[in-house]
Amino acid sequence: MTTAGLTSRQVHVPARRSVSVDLPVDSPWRAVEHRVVAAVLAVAFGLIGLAWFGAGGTVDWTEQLRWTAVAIGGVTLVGFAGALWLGLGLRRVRLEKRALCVSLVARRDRLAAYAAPVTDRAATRVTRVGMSHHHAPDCLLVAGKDVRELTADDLDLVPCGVCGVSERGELSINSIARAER
Amino acid sequence: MVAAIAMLNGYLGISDTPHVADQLPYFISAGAFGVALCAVAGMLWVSADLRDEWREIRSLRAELAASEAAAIARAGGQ
Repeated sequence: MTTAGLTSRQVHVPARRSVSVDLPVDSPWRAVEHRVVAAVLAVAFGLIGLAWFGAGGTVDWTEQLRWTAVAIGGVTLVGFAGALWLGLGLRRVRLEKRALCVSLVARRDRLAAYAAPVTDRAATRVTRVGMSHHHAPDCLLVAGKDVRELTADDLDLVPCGVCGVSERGELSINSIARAER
Repeated sequence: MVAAIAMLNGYLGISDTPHVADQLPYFISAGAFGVALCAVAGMLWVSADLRDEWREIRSLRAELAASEAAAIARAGGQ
């Protein structure tokens, strides 16, 4: 179905593993991920502390370099844990946004389907002799009157301000409200 | 803040001595520790934003689902 220049093919989302399953409502991370990242951070800071005590306890240059390498390993581990944490969070927020967009597009398509009959009805305009405006068939201003459909001779008529379609073909607020109902 | 204090402390300790054997423990305890703390602080900052965004999107989806359910119920009642 095509609505407003966007086809459902354009909003097609390939099937992916669901991300909203067993995730808490208030956080994009699962409890087990909290624990894993906290454990990795604890190990990393432990390595840095161990390296500090190791390097502080000796004046041997070679020995100190080894402990420095251990400390650098700890810092790398912190970076790894941070990247893992933020990567998971960013990915899940992105997928959640995508799901929201798909829901909104589906809703828009449904609304457009409801509005289509109204748009068709609005395409039919009527008037009667002596009128300077054209109206929708169900407009109150022509209710009960003997009206006829517009012809090529009625090009000088202007749309009714109550039920009308604007000159650019947009529906009036009343028409949109009818479609929403 | 703690990271900045740690790194400043390390700078002062390292600049006080010309001996590399005295400087390396400062490099590890202040330098590496400060960098790791900075990384954790940034991680917490960004994850707070992510969590806010997540809650907002989730509430939007819930509102949308509720509105859809109400519309379906209305249509079913007619």
